[in-house]
Amino acid sequence: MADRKEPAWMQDQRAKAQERFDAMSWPTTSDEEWRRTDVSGIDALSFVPAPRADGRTAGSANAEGLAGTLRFDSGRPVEAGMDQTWKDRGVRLMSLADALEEFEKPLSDIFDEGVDASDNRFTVWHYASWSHGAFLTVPAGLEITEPFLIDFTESGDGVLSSPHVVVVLGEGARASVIQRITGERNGSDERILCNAGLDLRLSDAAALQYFEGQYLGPQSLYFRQARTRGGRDSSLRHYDAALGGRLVKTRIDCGLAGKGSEAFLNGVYYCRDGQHMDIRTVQRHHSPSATSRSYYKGAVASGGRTVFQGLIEVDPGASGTDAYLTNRNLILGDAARSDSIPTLRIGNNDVRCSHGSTTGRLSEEELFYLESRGLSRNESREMLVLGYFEDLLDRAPEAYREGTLDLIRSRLASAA
Amino acid sequence: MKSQAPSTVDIGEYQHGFHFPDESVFKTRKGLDEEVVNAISSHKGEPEWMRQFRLRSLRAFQKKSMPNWGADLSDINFDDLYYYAKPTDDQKKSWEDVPAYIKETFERIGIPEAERKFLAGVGAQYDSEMVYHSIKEDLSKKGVIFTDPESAVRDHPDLVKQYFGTVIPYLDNKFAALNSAVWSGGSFVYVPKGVRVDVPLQAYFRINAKSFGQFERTLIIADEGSFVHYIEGCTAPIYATESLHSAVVEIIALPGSRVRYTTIQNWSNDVYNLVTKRAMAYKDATVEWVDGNIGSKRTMKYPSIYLMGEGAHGEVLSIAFAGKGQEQDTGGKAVHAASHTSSIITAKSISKGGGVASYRGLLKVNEGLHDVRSRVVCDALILDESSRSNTYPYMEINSDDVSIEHEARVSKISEEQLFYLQSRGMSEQEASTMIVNGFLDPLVKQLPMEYAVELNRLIELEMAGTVG
Repeated sequence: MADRKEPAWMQDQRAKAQERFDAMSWPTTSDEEWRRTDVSGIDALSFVPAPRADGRTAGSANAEGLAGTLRFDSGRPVEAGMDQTWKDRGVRLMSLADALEEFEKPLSDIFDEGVDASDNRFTVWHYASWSHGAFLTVPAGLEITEPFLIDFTESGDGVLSSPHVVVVLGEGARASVIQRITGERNGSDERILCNAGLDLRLSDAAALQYFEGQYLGPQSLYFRQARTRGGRDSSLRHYDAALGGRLVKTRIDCGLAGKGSEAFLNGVYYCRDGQHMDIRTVQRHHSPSATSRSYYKGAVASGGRTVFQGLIEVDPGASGTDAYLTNRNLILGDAARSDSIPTLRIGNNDVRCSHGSTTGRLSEEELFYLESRGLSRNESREMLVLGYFEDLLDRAPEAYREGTLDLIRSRLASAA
Repeated sequence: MKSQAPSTVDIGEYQHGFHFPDESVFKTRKGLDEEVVNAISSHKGEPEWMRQFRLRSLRAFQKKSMPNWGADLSDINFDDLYYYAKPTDDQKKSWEDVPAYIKETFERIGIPEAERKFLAGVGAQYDSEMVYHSIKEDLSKKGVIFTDPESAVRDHPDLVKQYFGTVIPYLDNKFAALNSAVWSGGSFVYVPKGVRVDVPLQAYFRINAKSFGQFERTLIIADEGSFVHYIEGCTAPIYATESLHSAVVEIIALPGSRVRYTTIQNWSNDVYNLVTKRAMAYKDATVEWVDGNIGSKRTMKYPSIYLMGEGAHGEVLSIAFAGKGQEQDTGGKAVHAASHTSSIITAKSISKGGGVASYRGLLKVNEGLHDVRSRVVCDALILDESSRSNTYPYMEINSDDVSIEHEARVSKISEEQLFYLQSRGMSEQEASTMIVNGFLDPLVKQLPMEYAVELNRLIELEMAGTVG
């Protein structure tokens, strides 16, 4: 427990979440969303919570090309820096623990909603026990081109880590964030249970690009609940790269609450032998004339198992909705398994909603073509797989794009 | 009126201690237990093995839980239903008892006079013997067996024992178990090796058979290299007093055969229609389901094809029309269990007047297969603000050498199309009807002509009053 006492409102939120936790049981395969991911063999409570972060974040210089940086090592903030111009104009990037008092107003509402909306034990567990995390706020009207970097390095065998990130953008503000989570520092055998949370709040006309890279070690377990809410004419682009973990179960629940808002949920996943990834996206249209897209591309190697469950839900009042959901799966080996479940629940007739899903393997013809040009089989495969992911990554900041592609490259090489 | 074929009830084999003084109006009491199942079996004069099958099924039904997904079935009260009524008591109903709206619909769709009474259930038969006599003769010359399942149990026990309940085991789901326990009526079809049946088989052909049972049971076996097209139901609204219908249809398509099964379901709007339909397609066999659901209060039906042998091909064409108070939870399933197999599922749905149309489907590719291709396309039209459309396609792919495509679209009638047609002098309703008919065209084209004509007229009727 932290030396510094948390404000009463946060203690109350934790207690409320704990109460719900005690009343719930772990999800089972008879719950539709968990039907394909069996967590009954996981003794979640045997993982030891990382010590909660305390103390003020030490200031440090900011890296070139970034608007701000916040790094955590095993739950402790180790580096925080921000460009002075942004600091002077009211931009804040800080440890979430440090923000609880100063930013009680947006945060207490966000946590309150989060606890209320949680519908499974992992999520309420997160809200009861979140251990560390980041808070970023950008005041109205500010436009920041360089990305912020929020970096989590988790470590410790048998450790429970529950990071939480909150981003709040004021009216018309524009920003982008790279959020990375890595493990494996003490070797690839390290088993971490990471139960992460994300809350994004975009005021009217705000625009956020959020790039999440999950690069935990091969024995770790990763659960993530992301909730986003966008006001009128706001624009969210969320990118998701899932590469690490033995078991991955994530959900992004994207609420289009403002008229004319848009949300693009993009994701890549690469699932290697022994990995199980279950990814859910929800595009919830509450307001008229909003646009949303989910576009997820995965590759599954032999021995890997992926599940993609996408949902578009349109409220009766959300006329003029334009929503699309696409899932593509590239199957790289014979013992690979890939489930794709793109669903629609439409309660309004003035909509354009559709989804598409394809599953296939690398084209023999294309492989042959590249080989006939002198590339080896493995080089050809690599080129095609990287090319397959390219359209999702080419707009991402270089650090994120290259980090993700490098990992895919090394996974392909080790699988070959 | 002709009398019922006495052979369906063979009192000679009856031996289990029940006695029914008036067999012409026999009806089991409300509710379902062993006694009722024994009564049904005894009344049909079934052999012991079928009675045991029914009893095993009953125990499965009692144990199985209701599906926790799909349409809302909470108001079904299993204790308040009749599970068997001997078909002959239909004769007690008269044409005067048929509601006026049903009669009017027959009139407007243009159903022939004789068929109207048959469809309304007021006569278990109409005088079709002359018409269909030659067809029947032709079929039996080719060795085709086309009869009701009760007769098949009696006359072809070996075939029935070999195939009955093998495609849909009684343990499959609660409603398959229910049907297995209390089934009555339906069709049994066996097409010998290499035989092509050129005329679509319809239950009409079978004089003295009631084709639309509450728990009908159909088994179709297409032997190697044969072809048959079976048509169930019709476009006219079926006047039914029973509130729960739960059929089981099993198809076995042996190597090189092709089976097409067409259904147009138009139960009246107080009926729960919970049906299990499944086909096994062996090497180089093709199975096609054409499944149209217009009527009922709630339907749950997902015709399935298991592609068991190389070269097998499956197609499902599903259409649903959900109007006021209706919920159509329909779709199709394709399970690829062999290499070099392909499947196509096409679903079209329309919801209007607060109706809910849901597509639910499964596409599964088992492990270690090669050259599997599948395409699933769902289109939904929502005609007004109060209606809903859902799409739940499940895709489970366990092999790498596959090509799987899925698309779904939900939309309303395009303002531009409406405007264009209205500028050509059509009323808004005519224009909407034309667009809906165009939307359904790919399905309608698959139907025999008389069905297509009837379906088009039916859609026109359903569309009446949609606009404005």
